[in-house]
Amino acid sequence: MYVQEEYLTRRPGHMCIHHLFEYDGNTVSSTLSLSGDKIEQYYRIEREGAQLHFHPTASYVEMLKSQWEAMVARLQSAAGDKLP
Amino acid sequence: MADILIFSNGPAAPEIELPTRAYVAPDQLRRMAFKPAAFRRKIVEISPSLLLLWAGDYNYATVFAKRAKAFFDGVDVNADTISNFVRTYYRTSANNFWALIIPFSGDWLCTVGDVTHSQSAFAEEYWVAGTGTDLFRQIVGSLSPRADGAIAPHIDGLRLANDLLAYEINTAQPILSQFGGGYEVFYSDQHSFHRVDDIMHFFVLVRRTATTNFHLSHYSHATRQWYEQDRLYIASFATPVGTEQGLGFVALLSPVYLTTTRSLNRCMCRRNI
Repeated sequence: MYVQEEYLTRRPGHMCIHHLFEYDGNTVSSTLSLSGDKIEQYYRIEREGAQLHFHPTASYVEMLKSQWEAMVARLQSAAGDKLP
Repeated sequence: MADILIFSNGPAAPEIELPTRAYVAPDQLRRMAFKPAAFRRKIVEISPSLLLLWAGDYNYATVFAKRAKAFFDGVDVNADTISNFVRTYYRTSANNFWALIIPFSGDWLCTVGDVTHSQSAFAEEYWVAGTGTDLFRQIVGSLSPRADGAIAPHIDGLRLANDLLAYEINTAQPILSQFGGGYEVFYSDQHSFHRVDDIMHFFVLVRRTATTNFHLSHYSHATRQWYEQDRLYIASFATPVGTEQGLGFVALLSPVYLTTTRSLNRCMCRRNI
C-alpha cells in the first residue's frame, strides 16, 4: 500500500496541538484545535520536496504567551489560596 | 467518538506499534491479561443517519455490525425499528461487549450491555462503555468547557481526542485500561452525521527560557489520519527528533463488516514533519 506523497504534503483539514507547559515544577496541559484557514493564522506551512515544515507565526507565539500568563496566574492564585 | 485499539488474551499477542509511539513498560505489558492486538474501527456507519459504536469483543462486534447492516438495509431508522433490532438480537447482554446505537433524529440512543450514562462540565451529558470507562470519565471530568462558548462539536471532539492521545503518550494509562491508539470523531449538524476528516495531532513541551522566549520540544511522532471511502488511515510521522527512531508507518482500518480486513500495513513514508 502506498500513500500519495501529494496528499500528505498538503495542509491538513484540522490540526490539534497539545501543549504541556512546564513551570516551576508544575505541568499544565492545553490543547489548541484549529480547522481550515485558521491553521495558517498560527502556522506558515512550507513544502520542501517530501518534507512538510510547520513554522509557527507571530500569532502562535502571542497565543502561547497569553496561555502561559493565564497558567502562571492560575498557579499563583492556587498557591496563594493555600497560604494561612 | 471511539478509539481504534482492540485487545486479545491470546498467548502470543503480536507487538503493536502505536501511532503515538507511546511506551508501555515490558513488565506492565506482561502483567496485562489482555494485550494490544490490532487496530480496528469501532464506529460502524450504517447510514448518514445511523451510527453504531462498539467496545469489547471484536468477533462479537463483527456479527453485530453485519446484522445491523442487513437489518437496516432499506429500512426506516426510527425508535420502532431500532427497538425491534435490539429485541431480536440483543435481548440479553453478552460478556465483554457493549454498543451504542445512535440515530441522527431525536435526542435519544439505544444501548447494548452495561453502558454508563454520565455528565461533566465539558461534555455535558454523555455515554461511555468498555474497560476504559473509569479512566475516560476521569479525563473528561478534568476538562473545562471552551471559554468562547461557541457551539463547535467537532472542535470539542478533537480536543478530547488530542488530550486522550497526550495522556497515552505521557502515562500509557489508556493502554493499560485497554483503549487508545487513535480516535475517530463524528458530529452531527441539522442534516446528518459527519466524519471529522484529515486531522493532524502534534504534542509539544513548552518551557520559557526568558521573559519573551519559549523553548518548544516536539514529541518524537505526530499523527495524521484521514478517510478514503469507508477506510480510516492513520499515519505516524517522525519529527526531526523521531527520525533516529525509524520511519513512520500507516495503519489501514477497514469497517468491521468487511470480510477482508487489513489492520496494519506498513508503507513507504519517508518524510519528516
